[in-house]
Amino acid sequence: MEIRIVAIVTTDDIAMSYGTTPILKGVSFALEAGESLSLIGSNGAGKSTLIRCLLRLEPITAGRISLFGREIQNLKPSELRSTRCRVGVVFQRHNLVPRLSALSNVVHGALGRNTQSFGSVLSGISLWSHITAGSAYRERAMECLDRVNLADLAHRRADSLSGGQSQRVAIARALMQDPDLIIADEPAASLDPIAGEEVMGLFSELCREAGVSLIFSTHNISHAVDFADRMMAMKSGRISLDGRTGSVDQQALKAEYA
Amino acid sequence: MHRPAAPPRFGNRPIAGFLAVILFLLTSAWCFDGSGFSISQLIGSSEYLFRFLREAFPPIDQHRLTFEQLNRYWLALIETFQMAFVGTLLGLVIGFILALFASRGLMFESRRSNVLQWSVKMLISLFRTVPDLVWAIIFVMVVGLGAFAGTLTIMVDTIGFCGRFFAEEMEDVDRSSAEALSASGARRFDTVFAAVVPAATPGLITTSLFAFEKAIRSSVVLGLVGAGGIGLELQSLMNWMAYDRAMVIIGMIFVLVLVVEQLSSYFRRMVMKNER
Repeated sequence: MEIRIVAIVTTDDIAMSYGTTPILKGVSFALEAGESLSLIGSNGAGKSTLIRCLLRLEPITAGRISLFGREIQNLKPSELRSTRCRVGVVFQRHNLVPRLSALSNVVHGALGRNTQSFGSVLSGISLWSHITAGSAYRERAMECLDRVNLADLAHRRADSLSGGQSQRVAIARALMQDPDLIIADEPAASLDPIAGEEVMGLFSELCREAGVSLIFSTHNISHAVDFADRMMAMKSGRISLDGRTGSVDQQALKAEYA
Repeated sequence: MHRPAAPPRFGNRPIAGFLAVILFLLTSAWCFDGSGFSISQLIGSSEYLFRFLREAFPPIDQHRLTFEQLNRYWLALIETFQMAFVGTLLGLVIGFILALFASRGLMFESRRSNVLQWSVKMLISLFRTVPDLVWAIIFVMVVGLGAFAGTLTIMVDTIGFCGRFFAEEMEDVDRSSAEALSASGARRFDTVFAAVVPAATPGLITTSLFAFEKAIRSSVVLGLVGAGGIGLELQSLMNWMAYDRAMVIIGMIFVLVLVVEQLSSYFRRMVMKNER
């Protein structure tokens, strides 16, 4: 019997520049369904840019990026949205709407799933806040908050939450999307070591439970090794190391990339 | 203990600074000359001011104020408030819609949208830069004397005021939360209303309250050109030199403006308190 391994993310020799400064130089890799991948590298190595390019938040200058089998640089806006809604994104600064409640922020996670038809405009409008969201969405959002242990803070404003709590709300928002892939750009960078460890543990556990693929960037070598199956190191816009986390020498990595 | 000497008073100032000060002084002198401002004339005319005050105080001294007249003033004051309220409300709604399109990179992001943004900004500038009295004269000509002309004037003035400041409020909002929603597949329309507008809300509310205060003050003056409200009563009493009754109206206007300003600043304080 033939076993087919499906790659959900593929980059083929991609390059990207800001003006005349090259940031990514020929990056190629593939991520299989259910796999977790950590990206390490010093500041300016190109990790965040690579993540932004994967989501087409930045345009690439050469090569191809494919998400779930679709080349994203050629997608129409509606096709891009339907691809993006399968990817939960967590940024370093959580990027929550500060004046809204944690629950409203989590409800926003369903906005992407509601853009696939013109008739869903009203449904999209109802998701601007938890007050107008339908009961099913509110229930689901509470479920997501519960999974990150924040159900009791559902009505607190996002700007009154601690850094760790905010990052957990951002994870709940990503879970609300019911994603096939989660991409996180240094999710623990703005947190203290204990909160950072908690957030990374939560990520890893949730992804493993739901069979969701994960790509995250980090400066913390221990996180990169402990919470991913595979790690990729970047240096000056290129991949300088790509391997299973069990087989890497942490001390050598710390000396080289931390 | 050694303490460094204070820097020279003018030592490091570039010559452009001095030139700017000299230019400012010359411009001031030129403008004072052209504006006809004259202390001696002001002192010489004080006799007329005192005559007005003598005749105006105490209010209702020479011309007995009847209940019917007072009731008419009261209704005109209410009409002034209603004109200001409706004009502001309509202006806020239209100004907000225009501001969405005038705000840089908010609703669309393409070269064609830059043309749209520029056109909407120009329209808002037109509404803002033409003085309200000029709009009032135009609307009186179009729809006739009365409150409707005043309401339309306040609406247009509010569109100009709020269109500009709403657009700036929304441009200043940190777009990272909108980008996060966009990255998760949300429509731009949804990212604007789910992320940008809630973040800009305190600014939008305080601007709206300022617009209402401004509209109340404007609506009083608009009557002078026939656009309804208590200004119309004030104008006719001044023409009849019934200064004592005019003073009653000035007093009523003062109370209305003061109450609206106090309420507005109370609501503004409440909004800002919630943001701390």
